[in-house]
Amino acid sequence: MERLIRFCLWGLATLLVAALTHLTAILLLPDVAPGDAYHRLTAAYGGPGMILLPAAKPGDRVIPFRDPAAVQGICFFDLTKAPVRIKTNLEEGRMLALSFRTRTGKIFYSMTDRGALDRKIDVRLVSETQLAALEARDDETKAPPAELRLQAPIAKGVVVATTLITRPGELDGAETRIKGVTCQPER
Amino acid sequence: MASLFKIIAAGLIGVTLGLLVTIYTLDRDRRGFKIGPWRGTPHDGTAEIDPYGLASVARVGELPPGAAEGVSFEAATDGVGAPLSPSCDYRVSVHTPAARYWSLSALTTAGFPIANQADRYAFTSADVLRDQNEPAVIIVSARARPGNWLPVSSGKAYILMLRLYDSSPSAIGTALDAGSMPTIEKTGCR
Repeated sequence: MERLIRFCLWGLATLLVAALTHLTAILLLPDVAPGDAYHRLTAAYGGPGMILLPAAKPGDRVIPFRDPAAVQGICFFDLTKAPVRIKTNLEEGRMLALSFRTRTGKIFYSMTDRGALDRKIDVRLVSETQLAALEARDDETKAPPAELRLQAPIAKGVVVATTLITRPGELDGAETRIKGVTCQPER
Repeated sequence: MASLFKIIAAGLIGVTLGLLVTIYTLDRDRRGFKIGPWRGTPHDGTAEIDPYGLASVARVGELPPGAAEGVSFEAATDGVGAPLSPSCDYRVSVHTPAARYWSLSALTTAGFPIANQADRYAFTSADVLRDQNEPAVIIVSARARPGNWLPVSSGKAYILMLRLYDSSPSAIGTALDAGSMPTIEKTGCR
């Protein structure tokens, strides 16, 4: 009987170690995974501004499960020095989507052209302290902001712009739409 | 000495077991919800993504669509649950989903487009040929087919990916039912 109890206790201890290992792995993976999208994109296309990604084609080995019918661009942001401004003018009826992602892959905001006003997208991506400074300035000028102010939960991440090649021969137009998105730190 | 050995053994077995459970739970084929043959993880595109979703996305290295952009579904089986075979032909009938655009593509199981001579990797709702008021019919086959032919490679396993762009909020939940999703029907094998 005593032997059985001892065996059960060892079994429980083993299960406890397994549970702790599992939870630790799940919580740590987004921060340490070397093959996450942010690391893959940084290694393959790192640079300033909006970078046009090559269309998903056979032989592509950077980002899996992309839509071959879509054209995408990426813009890395780092809010430690300044807010980042993302602007573009929209074409009537042409889909353009933006998604704002943290370095660990969480999408904290996404939008399409349908949510834009006056056929343009104008987003100021800010940190908490930058937003507070902007709001203090607003109180002084009493002018409402013309842009959408978006507070990022962490300082580093990536903005992904997506549009569709809806018909054959529209690749150039889709690429022009992505290249037309400006994404730059504010001076 | 015997206790030390037991502690080390319990630790090693526990860590191994924990890692195996982690790999199992992060398998793409087990995540999200299923509608017929289609599996989707729409919450991966929201700020409410759970730790398992975040870990899975990081492990795979993908860029799931944001909630406002749309939603993505994958199918590795046909409508009766049989794995998609590169030696068989399939008829995918796409009704009109609650989305501004949709696209259907065939990808390798690793998530990359399949090389083919036709240079065709996807169909969209705008370029697919269809009869008025009829569902769009796409033939997935390794051999050339008339009409909307989505080529795959003979001998290589693949999945189908459906993207619904700018879909209505109701589409990103449980409101989608099997009747509104594309059907996948095997038409023959070689």
